[in-house]
Amino acid sequence: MHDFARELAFFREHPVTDWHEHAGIGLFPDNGDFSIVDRLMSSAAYVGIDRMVISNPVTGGTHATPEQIAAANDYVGRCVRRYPGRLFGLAYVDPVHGRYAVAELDRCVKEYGFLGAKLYNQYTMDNDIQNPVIEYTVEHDLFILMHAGHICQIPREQPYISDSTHMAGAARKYPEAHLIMAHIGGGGDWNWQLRGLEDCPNVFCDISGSVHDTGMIEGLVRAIGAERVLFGTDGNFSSSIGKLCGAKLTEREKLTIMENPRFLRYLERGNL
Amino acid sequence: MLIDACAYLGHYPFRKTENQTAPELIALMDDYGIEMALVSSLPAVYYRDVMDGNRELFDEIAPCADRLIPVATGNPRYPCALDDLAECVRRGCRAVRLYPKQHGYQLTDPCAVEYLRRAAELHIPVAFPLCLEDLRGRHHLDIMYPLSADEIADAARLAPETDFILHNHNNYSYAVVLSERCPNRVGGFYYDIGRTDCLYVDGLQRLIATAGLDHVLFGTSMPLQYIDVQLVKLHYLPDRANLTDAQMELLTSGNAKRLFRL
Repeated sequence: MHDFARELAFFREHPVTDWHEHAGIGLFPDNGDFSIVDRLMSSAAYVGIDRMVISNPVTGGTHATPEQIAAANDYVGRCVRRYPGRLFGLAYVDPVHGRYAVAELDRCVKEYGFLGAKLYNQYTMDNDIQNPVIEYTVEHDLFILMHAGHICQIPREQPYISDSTHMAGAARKYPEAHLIMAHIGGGGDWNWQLRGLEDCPNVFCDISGSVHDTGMIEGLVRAIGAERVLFGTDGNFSSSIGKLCGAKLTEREKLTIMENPRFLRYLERGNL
Repeated sequence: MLIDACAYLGHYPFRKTENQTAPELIALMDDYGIEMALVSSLPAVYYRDVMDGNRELFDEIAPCADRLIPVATGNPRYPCALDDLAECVRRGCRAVRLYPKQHGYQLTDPCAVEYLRRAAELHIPVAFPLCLEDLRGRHHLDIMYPLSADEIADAARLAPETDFILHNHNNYSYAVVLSERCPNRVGGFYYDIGRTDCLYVDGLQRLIATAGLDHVLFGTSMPLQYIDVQLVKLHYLPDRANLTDAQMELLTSGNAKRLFRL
């Protein structure tokens, strides 16, 4: 017998970290305006999300300049400093910038205490151009959140988006890396995404996205185990909370997803 | 009381799903406190002759007619479509769902316009499940894109007395277009809450402001989607949208009772 009220109370009463969030996407001038992140954090507190990890990728299929990327990351840094202990950052980088991408990641880690890197759709995860960024995260015990999906609509608006096979390719190259495949609920064919992750223990997956097809969360846990699944919303609070509440999982599995112990060390280290 | 304006029975071809039969759906509804559901046949969408699926649906739900309210699946371009629609209404259907993209016609084709007008004459609304599931992950045999708001607006202007229901999409953006392009119709536009959020993103509040609370319906797309997602919204919506118990009653059941004459 499913008891929704009990499921929602369970979610609210236990620690929850949202590993995939944004406080707006774009370039925000340093003018003291924190309205977006303030609304995000009040909304999170309202529903029982305790901590959030945000990033600010420059989307649209373009290569932003290093200066634009630094400005985007500085906005995240200002937001993180406004909510110490509750808000954490990832450094968006574009590997096309080579050593400058690594330098930007290094700057954000040292200046803001960011937990890792956010990569987008300029290159697939297994492309060797990503290697310097991956190697930096391995060396400094950080993780990478990769925008991901197996999108089946034509024309393909994101030809180099990473799907689970690309994630697996990178994971095999760097078995010591910690890679998160983003939004199982926002990345197209989730059946495909599940199958590609079966044999790569250092790839994790967040449950964010607007899609809440029945069986998706149970399938994800069957494919890779709850210890490799992370709670996330990517702005879709009702969908992400609801699909976790509705999934036929044990309480222990849900607790693991809500506050994955394998990732707690990043939170404990974050926020300089 | 919860009345689900958007539910299905039968096998879905593109992924494994549970709760495909009437007894299973009733058990699911009991778990979630859903009193009644407007159900149509999923196989009917993919049969060449949708009426075969409709008749299967009638047989399947006959033992639980007080809980599962039949909704016809229609294909206006098929022979005898209008006769089939009349038969479905005689057999208790309170709405008809159309799938123009799957069935390969334009909503402004003469046969479709005639069908839409006949639905109004029979006093039933016409529903459009814009996506059965998110099309970014579409199966290669599935449609590529949903019906657009402009396509619906064009048809609505040709069938001004027909009530339209939009299911399972970003309904706020559709409501903006339809309210601008089709003001002062006799028929109304109704929207379910399935893919519109009310928490960090406030699309549902905007939908209510644009379409009017009396045009918003509780709908889950069960068993294809987690019901809990819609219950999360119902839990928080009174506070987020400043709705009274009476207003929530309209959204969760009152509007459906009126629209479907339950």
